[in-house]
Amino acid sequence: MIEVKNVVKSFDGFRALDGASLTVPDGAIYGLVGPNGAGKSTIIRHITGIYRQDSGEVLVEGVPVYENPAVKGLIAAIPDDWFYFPSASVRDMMQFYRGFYPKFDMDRYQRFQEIFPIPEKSVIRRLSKGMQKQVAFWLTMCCRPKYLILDEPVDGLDPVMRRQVWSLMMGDVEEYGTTVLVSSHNLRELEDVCDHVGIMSKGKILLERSLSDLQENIVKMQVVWSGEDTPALPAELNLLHTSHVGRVYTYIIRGNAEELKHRLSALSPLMMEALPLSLEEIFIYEMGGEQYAVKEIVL
Amino acid sequence: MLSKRSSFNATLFRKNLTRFWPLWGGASLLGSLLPLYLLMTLLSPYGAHVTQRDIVIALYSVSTVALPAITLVYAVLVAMTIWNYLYSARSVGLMHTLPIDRRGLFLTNVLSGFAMLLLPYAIAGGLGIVITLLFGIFPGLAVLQTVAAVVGLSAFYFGTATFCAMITGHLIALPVFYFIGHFLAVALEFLVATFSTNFIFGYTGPSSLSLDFLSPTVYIYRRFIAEYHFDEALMQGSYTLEGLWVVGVYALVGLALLLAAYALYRVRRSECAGDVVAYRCLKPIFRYGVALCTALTGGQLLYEIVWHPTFQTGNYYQMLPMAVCMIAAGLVGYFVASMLLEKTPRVFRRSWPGMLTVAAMVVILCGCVSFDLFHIAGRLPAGSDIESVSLTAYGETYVSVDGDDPLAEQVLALHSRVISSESYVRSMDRRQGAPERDTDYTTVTFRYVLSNGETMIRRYYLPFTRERWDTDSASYDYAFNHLVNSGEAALSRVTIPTDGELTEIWANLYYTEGIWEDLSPDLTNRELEQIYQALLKDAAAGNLPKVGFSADPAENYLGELQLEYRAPDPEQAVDYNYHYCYVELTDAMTHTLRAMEAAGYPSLEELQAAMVAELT
Repeated sequence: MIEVKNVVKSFDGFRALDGASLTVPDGAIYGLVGPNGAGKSTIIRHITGIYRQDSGEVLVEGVPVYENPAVKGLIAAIPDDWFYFPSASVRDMMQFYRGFYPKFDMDRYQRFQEIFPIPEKSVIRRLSKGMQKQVAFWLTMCCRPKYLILDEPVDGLDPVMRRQVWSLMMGDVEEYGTTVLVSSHNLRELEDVCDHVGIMSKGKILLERSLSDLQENIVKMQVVWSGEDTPALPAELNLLHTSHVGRVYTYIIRGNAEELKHRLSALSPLMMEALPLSLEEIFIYEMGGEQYAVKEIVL
Repeated sequence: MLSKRSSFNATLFRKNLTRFWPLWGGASLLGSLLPLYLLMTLLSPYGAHVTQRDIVIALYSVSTVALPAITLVYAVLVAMTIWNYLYSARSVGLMHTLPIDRRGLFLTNVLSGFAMLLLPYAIAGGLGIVITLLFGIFPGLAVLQTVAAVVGLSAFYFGTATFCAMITGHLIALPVFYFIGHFLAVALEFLVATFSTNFIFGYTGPSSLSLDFLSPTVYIYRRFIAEYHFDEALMQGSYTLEGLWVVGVYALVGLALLLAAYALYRVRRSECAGDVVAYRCLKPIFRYGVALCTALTGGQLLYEIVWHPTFQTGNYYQMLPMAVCMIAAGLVGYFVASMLLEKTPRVFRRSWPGMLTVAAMVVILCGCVSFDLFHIAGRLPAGSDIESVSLTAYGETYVSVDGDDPLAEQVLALHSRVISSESYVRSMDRRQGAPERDTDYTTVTFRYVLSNGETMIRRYYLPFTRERWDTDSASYDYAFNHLVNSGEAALSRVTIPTDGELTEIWANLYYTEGIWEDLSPDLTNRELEQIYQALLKDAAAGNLPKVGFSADPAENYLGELQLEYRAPDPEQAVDYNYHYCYVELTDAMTHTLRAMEAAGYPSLEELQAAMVAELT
């Protein structure tokens, strides 16, 4: 399990993490989402042991990660801008990784040559960005990590390769119980793979839940009212957003769909339907509560 | 509990060596040129004459001359390659994500660095050893000493380079800090001395670099030397390597710096990659250090360009314009340092409190030096502390005696008068633009060798006036006249020390063309002694030419005598040294001229006639 507890990190007076806390259960695929500058990469750098927090705790399997080679040996990471030695070939980097990760799987490395069609003697510097990302996945997956930390992992990959990579990763989760923490802006993609989601903003985790909980806790209600006047909704409803097209009103309300249906039916609508929200919509409305500037443009 | 400590990592070690092989490979190739040259020399016709002694001399020359400079440069190149990963967020991200702690990373990188440093020396040295063994001229001790020097210097320079690598987060800043660090102490000492000498009356700065041990390369070059000894019995010279202990001490310093660098690395923040200074606590030191150095160098430069040519009167700096120039330069330095630290040019608003501090520091510095807060100008050595003293003026040394000589007391008394006349000298100095009649200026230098081994030098540009020279018995002019033009001073000037041995006398005669062709007759020891004794007689009789206003206009200068003598020289590394004494030859020096005539030089009459002929 990965636990980040109340972590604070400042850079020259700027609080990049402001009491951030998250928990990634074992075997989960945890999607970390948030706007630019929310602190996603910073929290990931803490979990991979690059940064030391000013305060708080970063624990993996209950022990601190920073300066702990035993824990780091269980973790493999692909940062948003993966580093390789300037003149290194795929094989060179494989040998380098192999020297550090005792569980490095050479059989897997050989097998993956079929999945990643890149000659192992290729100099990585000369490969395209997408191919470099493939190399990163290739080598990282061969480390057989118990914890896989990915920062914007599929940026630059073509759709086929994206599917391949997700498939490999989910295979590892299923087969070996690998725990995956992935940050991404591509919410539609995360929705397909993640079972847990954490939303970050301004250095804090705003909420984290399983995806099903999250989707059950916020509802898009489409309602057609009978009269000319729109009845006032009960004040106790946690209404996040309202819009309408003609007489069709769309309400985004926090709460359980069945309960909300029951409450609204008391106002005698002509028609009423509860629709699930996509992760992208949830993200936008949750961020809306944080005065996220993009909200109005998107809407 | 998931916890273990990592140490050496062979993969990283191999990776470092394979990644950076062009550096150590190139160095090995260049280094191998030396044994190649040795081999070609030994195979040449001259090779039969090469002895083990020649190899020793060559090894010592390489050790003391080339080795410190090469290692100074090569060590920082190695450090730049080894620690390069610390300076980019991407690379530091990879290295610090790996399952190895900083102890392991540090140890492995340091060992890789040492391997890269020593491999070229090992290859070049190994080849040299094989060649000398093959030719039977292997110098065992010298090789051992050279190996010790290589290891010691490598430890020291790589230690300092690694320390510099830890305090910065920028690749370019590493060599800049490294080279500045290696020469900062002597450079600052020089700057402060230059600055002080232009303010403090008579001050010439420290006679030796007292802080050179903080600039190790300078110290090593001054102390780690191949010393020549001449065995007169065998009529053969030999060399010994002196100061290897200095290298040993610096090697220990290098190891201590490596430990300090490790301590810094343990607490180093990965996010400082790209910062000029990696630790917050060092940032003020960097800001104010840059400001102070810029104030000292830039301020003096600005003053010399803007103020000195047009507005300065006299030889000494004026405090107010100098302070203004230094503040301007210091503020520029502070501003630039802030920009480098903040990585933005928009630092002015936040910089002004620091700029005010810099201005205040500069004013305090200028005030302290200008008002001579430490009373440097008034310091005189106690008579009992003086080993020897010399007085130089008009380009000649007029007194050079031991501390217990009565003349030493007179020199001290003269010096005391000069010091007490500071305001008079400074006022005359400012009036120099308008020359006055019967005023003569000369540079007078007092040099004291003290019993603690230090040397104190004071130099004054003094005005002499005829009135004070002749009649004002309280003036330094009068004291100077009566000291320098006295028979005792003249005698001391030409007297060879008791442990010295006169070896030669040359005469450079002015008016000899056409009357005398043999410019340097071979003098016998007896003739040398006779001329020398005659010179002493002239000195005692007051026949040597007088200086200043006491110079006799009726005297005719016929040439110059140069006495060469050999005497022990405690200030030099060698056992003894040759010294020279120059005396103007006038027609009043009758004893000397007669002795010279007896030795084969033209007579006084001939010289006078030749002079008249030439002048008319």
